[in-house]
Amino acid sequence: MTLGAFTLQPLGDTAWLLGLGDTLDLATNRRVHAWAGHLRACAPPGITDIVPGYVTLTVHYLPEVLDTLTVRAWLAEQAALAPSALPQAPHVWELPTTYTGPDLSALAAWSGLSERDVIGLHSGTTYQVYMLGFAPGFAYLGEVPARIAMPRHATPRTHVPAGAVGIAGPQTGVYPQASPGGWQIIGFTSAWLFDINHTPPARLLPGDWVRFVPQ
Amino acid sequence: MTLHILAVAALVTVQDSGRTGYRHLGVPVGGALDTWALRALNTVVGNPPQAAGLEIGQGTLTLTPTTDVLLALGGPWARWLINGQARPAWQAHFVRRGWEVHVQVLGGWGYLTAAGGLLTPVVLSARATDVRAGWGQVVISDQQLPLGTPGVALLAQAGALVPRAARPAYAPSPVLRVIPGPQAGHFTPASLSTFVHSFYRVLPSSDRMGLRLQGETLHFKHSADILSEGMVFGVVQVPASGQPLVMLADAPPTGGYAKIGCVVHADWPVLAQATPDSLIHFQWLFHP
Repeated sequence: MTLGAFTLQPLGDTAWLLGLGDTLDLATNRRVHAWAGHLRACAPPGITDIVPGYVTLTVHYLPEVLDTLTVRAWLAEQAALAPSALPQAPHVWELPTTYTGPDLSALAAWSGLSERDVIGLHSGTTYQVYMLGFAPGFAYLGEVPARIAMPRHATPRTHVPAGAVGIAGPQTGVYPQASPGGWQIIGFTSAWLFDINHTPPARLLPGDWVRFVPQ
Repeated sequence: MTLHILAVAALVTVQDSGRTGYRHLGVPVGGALDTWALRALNTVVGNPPQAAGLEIGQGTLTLTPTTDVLLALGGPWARWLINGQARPAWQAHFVRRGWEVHVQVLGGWGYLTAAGGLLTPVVLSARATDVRAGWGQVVISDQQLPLGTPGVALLAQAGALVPRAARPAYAPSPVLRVIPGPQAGHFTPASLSTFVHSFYRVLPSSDRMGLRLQGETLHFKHSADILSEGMVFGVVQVPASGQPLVMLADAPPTGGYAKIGCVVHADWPVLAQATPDSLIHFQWLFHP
């Protein structure tokens, strides 16, 4: 894996946005995680957060510690040194899942498949954690097989319970805490996803792999 | 050693500088909206700048310390009575055990610090209150908020002041300087000009996550939706409606709308104190 071209754009005067591509694909997202691991390992004091997006990394710094051009120069310099592979083998998580979600039958109807086949396709795929966001511990997983990649609800539900497993187009994920949400809920997992007493508090980390195991 | 809360008629929360280092796990930084004010007010009572204090929304708060203490109050539109006497804001005052302190915030956010800081529980290395996550402390009547041991001699530190010249240029209708955002090129040239040549009204539905603005609609050359990526305090996102949103402390660390610009760090205190119905005027720091 090579780490070809990149772009650097300021996100105000407290962060830089490192762009590694324009289109979402697995190879680009793996480069994001390779870069994240590399930069974390050599970040100077004053760099507070290195946040993966689908095709970007956002590097936050303390403006009272680091000058914006110093951070830019450091990032540009790392381009030559960045890693040629993931720093370590990604962790593979298995999440026990009961496929009894309120949207399972609607998703089966949408796809023209049986509920059993929907479950087979969803649980038969190994997903990459592209990034975390939306809420603490919420991992964006992909890519969902096209046959079951149903778009999210036009109007979000006001309450989605913790542990709900959802699909939104090519993405799937689990709600770590109860919240409003628009994803198609096909099941529930009892696996913990975010625990403030755990280090790190999130279980699924950017770059990890995830499989849903029907119960 | 506590601050005994007697009456609350405002949104009052314990806040500090927030939780950095967890954004890649989806955790908002949170903390005080106007961290400049909180840090300055910590300094005048002899605390480290990141100590926890109270953030007070529009309304009133009455409390009394259960020990002799130094207190400081600040914010653009905050005032107080200590033991029945009006006292200047932005200054450390010696407050005897049992004296009543009555705070009134007329707009924006007030901050109250106490020597020793508030020692409410730490979650992910911060005491900051995140209401949605259920972390920290929303302050209610009859509560006792634990105080730390002051790091300074109270009487020697009393009177310390945040100099007027050092304070941000708070204004009800502020001018905010903006660095062009990564997706400034998604907007039509006319809209890049409209953005800085019109006023945007702060809607009352704004909250600690962000300011919802209403004004001239901004138009896109490309889509409003992007692949989700990192955000910072002060990012101006524009969804398909064309009405901007300015993200604040409790915003998630990533977002999927085009970012027309980012308010410069020096203007964050003024941004944080923008009140509902105020008019914001954006200014490019340099033209996109």
